[in-house]
Amino acid sequence: MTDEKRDKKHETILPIGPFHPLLKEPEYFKVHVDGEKVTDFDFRLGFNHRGIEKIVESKTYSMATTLLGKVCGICNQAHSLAFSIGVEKINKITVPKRGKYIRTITFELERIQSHLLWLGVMAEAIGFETVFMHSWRERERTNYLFELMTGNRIAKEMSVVGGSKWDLDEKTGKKVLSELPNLVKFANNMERVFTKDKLVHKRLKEVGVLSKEEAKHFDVVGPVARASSLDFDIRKNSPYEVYKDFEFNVIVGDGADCLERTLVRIREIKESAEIIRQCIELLPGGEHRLKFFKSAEGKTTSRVEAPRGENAHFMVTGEMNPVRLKIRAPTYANIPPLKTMLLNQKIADVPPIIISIDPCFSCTDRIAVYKKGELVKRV
Amino acid sequence: MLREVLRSIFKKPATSSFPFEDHVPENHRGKIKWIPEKCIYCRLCERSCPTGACKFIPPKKAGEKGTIEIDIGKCVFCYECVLACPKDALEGTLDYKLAYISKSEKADEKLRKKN
Repeated sequence: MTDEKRDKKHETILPIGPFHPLLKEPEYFKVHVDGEKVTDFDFRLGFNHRGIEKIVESKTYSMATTLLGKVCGICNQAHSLAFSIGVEKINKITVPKRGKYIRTITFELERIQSHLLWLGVMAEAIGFETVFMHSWRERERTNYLFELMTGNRIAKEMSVVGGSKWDLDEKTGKKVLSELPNLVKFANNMERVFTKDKLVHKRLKEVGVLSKEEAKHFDVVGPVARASSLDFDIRKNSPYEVYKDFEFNVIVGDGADCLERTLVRIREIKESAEIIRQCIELLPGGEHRLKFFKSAEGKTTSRVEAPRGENAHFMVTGEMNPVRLKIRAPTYANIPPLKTMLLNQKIADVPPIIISIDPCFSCTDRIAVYKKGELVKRV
Repeated sequence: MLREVLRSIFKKPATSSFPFEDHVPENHRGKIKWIPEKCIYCRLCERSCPTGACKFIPPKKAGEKGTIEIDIGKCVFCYECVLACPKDALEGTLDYKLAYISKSEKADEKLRKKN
């Protein structure tokens, strides 16, 4: 639609971003509104481009896993794990089982941490600040556990090529087990609040609906797909690491709205807690890390189920360092359906809808296209 | 929700009173200490550092061995150097209060003494 036609229809452009109180990271959303109604939507990515894919090419494999932890602050292990799995696949390394189990424990704890953080942000967007305070208080437990296990609260750096960087002693394992019931109790409490509270329903129910067909069309991933009744989880569909050993359910909801996405994530906290419990109980002994220096040449794709959805790494490896690495972060797949979700909604519903996909823009911004030395576009 | 709110009235605060209390777990990754007596100057730590924070400074006079310095401004506390060291000459400490006013540590200590 041209600008002239828009003027005739009394449309206004409401810019959200690049710097906006709603967004925690810089990104530009162009929302066209007619009165209170959203009529069109556009977005522009690339404000967070840091060139990590290029820097990785000059690092050795042990350095690369440390650097890839910096791709995303919240789900940092998802990236280093995907990279290590890929390199292990190329070199046909049999990673010690203990290392795999320990990696899985921190990976699942990370999912709990990410969902609790998201729950707080979502609650704040709908003006429910009590839940924001409570969920971030519970998130502190997970961060404390990370510090006990790895020595750092956020940058865990647990996954390295050939196993886990740190070992897990029995005392810490028991501490993790003792904290899990608190997290499950909180998740149960939140599930009760979000299924019964009338005010929450008024803000979230039938807001930002993405039907099953549309979700399939846009190839959405993670909790957004599962809330639109698409039964898709890499942990079940193509199991990596040691997920075959555990019994857990893939949470699928059929509401397809913001409320369902919230509930799916809350229920996933409980499933992750269950996986961690099984992991610690079945934890085998022995080595936790193999030494790894030189890699064989090859190329592969590795996928993991990050807290936000499917995270894929494509890599071409050289002897000492990766030759090429391409990261497809889960948010990248979840941004296009925003247009379908936002059309004909009210302005006040724009923040919860954008937040309902759990956007992480620093993960997403990857490529900048240059032509004859000039920046053409950033993808 | 109301029950939770009422219960919170009688609870201790979730936060800790920081300068008086300090919760640092045993294996916290803090500042890295170099022990010159154990060091064999193989420079594996320098090669394993992803940020270039760990550096070997060559000796100024003949007969000296040189030093290994870790730039706290660049260090991300990944402990790759500690794990790479074959003689345990690099050790992790629990020291996490590493905010300095100036870049060089010595100048900063002087500033602190003045204040």
